[in-house]
Amino acid sequence: MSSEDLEAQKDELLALASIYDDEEFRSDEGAHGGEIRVLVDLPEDFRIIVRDKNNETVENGQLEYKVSFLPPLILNFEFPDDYPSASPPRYSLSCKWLTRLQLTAVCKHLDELWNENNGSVVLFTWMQFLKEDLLKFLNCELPFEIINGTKGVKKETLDNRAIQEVDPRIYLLPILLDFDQAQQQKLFDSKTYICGVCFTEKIGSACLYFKECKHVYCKACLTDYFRIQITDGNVHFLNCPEPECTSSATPAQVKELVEEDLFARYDRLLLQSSLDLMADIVYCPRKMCETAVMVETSNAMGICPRCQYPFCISCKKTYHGVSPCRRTKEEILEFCSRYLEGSEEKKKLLEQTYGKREIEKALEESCSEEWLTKNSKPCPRCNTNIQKVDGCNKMTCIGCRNYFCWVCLGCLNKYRPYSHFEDASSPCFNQLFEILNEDNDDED
Amino acid sequence: MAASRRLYKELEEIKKSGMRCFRNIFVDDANLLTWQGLLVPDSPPYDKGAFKIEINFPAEYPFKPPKITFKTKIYHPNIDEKGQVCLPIISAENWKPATKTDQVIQSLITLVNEPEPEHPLRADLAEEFSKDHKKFIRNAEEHTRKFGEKRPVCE
Repeated sequence: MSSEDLEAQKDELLALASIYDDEEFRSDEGAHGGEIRVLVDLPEDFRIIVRDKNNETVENGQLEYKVSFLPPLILNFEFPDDYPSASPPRYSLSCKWLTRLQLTAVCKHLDELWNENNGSVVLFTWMQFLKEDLLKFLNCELPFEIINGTKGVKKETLDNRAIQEVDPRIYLLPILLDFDQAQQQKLFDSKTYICGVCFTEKIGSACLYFKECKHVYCKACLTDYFRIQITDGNVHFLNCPEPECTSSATPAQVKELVEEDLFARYDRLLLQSSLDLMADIVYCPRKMCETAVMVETSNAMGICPRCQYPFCISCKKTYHGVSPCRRTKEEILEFCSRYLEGSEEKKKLLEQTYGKREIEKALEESCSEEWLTKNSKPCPRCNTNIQKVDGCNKMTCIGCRNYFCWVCLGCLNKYRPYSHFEDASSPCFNQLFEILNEDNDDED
Repeated sequence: MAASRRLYKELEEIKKSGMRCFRNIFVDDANLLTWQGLLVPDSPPYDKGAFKIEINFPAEYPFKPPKITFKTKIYHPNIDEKGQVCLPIISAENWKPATKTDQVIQSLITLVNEPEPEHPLRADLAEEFSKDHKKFIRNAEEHTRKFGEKRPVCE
């Protein structure tokens, strides 16, 4: 081995190591070879179409996919003693998305490049070619056709150094799309973005983007936003914070950001609000169950599919056939006041008769019932209890997005909700900001 | 507090860019959640004066919207006698956290300059606006001269 060759080899490896990062170039410990991974430059609107070796696309629906990255071409090389003065590097070239036939052509071209370059180091030239000129060399047309496996080609014509590094029996598309996705995420994570909510510059790995609109926000802000929305019950509106933008967070994104219990609430409310809009769904009255039960409106009885509990749809107690529902709200209230105002002995007696837990439940119910009647009104469409904090009397139900009038509890026209307050013939004419007396009772 | 940090940035930006229609901004350093300022419309009949407004930001800002109140009386179909205004961009159901205060003010000034009689808070004024526009302009101008603040001298 001439010392000149050895020197040239060392210099080349050093130079490449300084140009490329660890992902792209790694030399062996003995410094006689190494591994090069080239990510081929793809044009802006690069699209692929994937076929198996029988020249058929596996999926029937979408055929073309837009990708920004394809898995790397891997060039393993080893220097013979007389490189670069006399012999080229020994190498193998492997790739997931080029057939052996295509790779054979590429190998042939690498050999030609060596011949043109005879006597001087060649790896950089090869890398440049693979990165920048490969698609042109392959006469790439869009969509680029990717075929798994080679068929109908004589083995002898294929270069042994060319390897399609993927099992010909598997379908390539998911692998390519996963790689593209991971690479894009990597690129995203390494850039910096200005969060549109806190206006602070953050590194991509601390940020998240909405899939449809690609607007970027920091995870901290989105977490706060989603927390507030979920706590307020606005589960249909985990949207992009940008004005007028309607793209919404995926459940996976919500799960990544908020605590487990909040996510459970989000999940539950989302299901519940969808079910609430269906008139033929009621919930199993058993507190431990609360399964959604499909009922026929003509039927007074519902049967829970989970716990098999048969119940009366109107009073939610065990189904009682033709006899009337017992204990109305008023009765509960009356019962509670009897208990609260009674002497110690009387209380004991009632507890013995009805059970302490029953009484506590009734008290709790009457309290929240009292609070609800005092502070809220039911949405005329879905019956959700709505509390008005401030603003005008055109209310939007947080449950079903229905507009209604706080004064008369009528549903409002979806497109012209204010007309209700503008029309002189309407009972609520000019009462958009009218404050009702009942609201003022316990405030101020 | 996240709200104050963002409001500080917004305030700096607004002061730097200098909004023509929103002047004399006063914010107490100890409480960035309340802004006061002078709204200076440039369409008649409101171009004869200026209007003090107050913007109140909730502690949860920007996840919950700010509220705007007119401190100066204004003769306008979309602003009631108490100074309340129904501005869609800051209504609870439309609010988006990436909305900036200067966009809110822009939207407010547009509403002041171009009243929307089809969504009125004061139906009497809306009716006058649509049916006897000349009278409306006369009344509004007079009202503006009588109750409006002095317009700041342009620099």
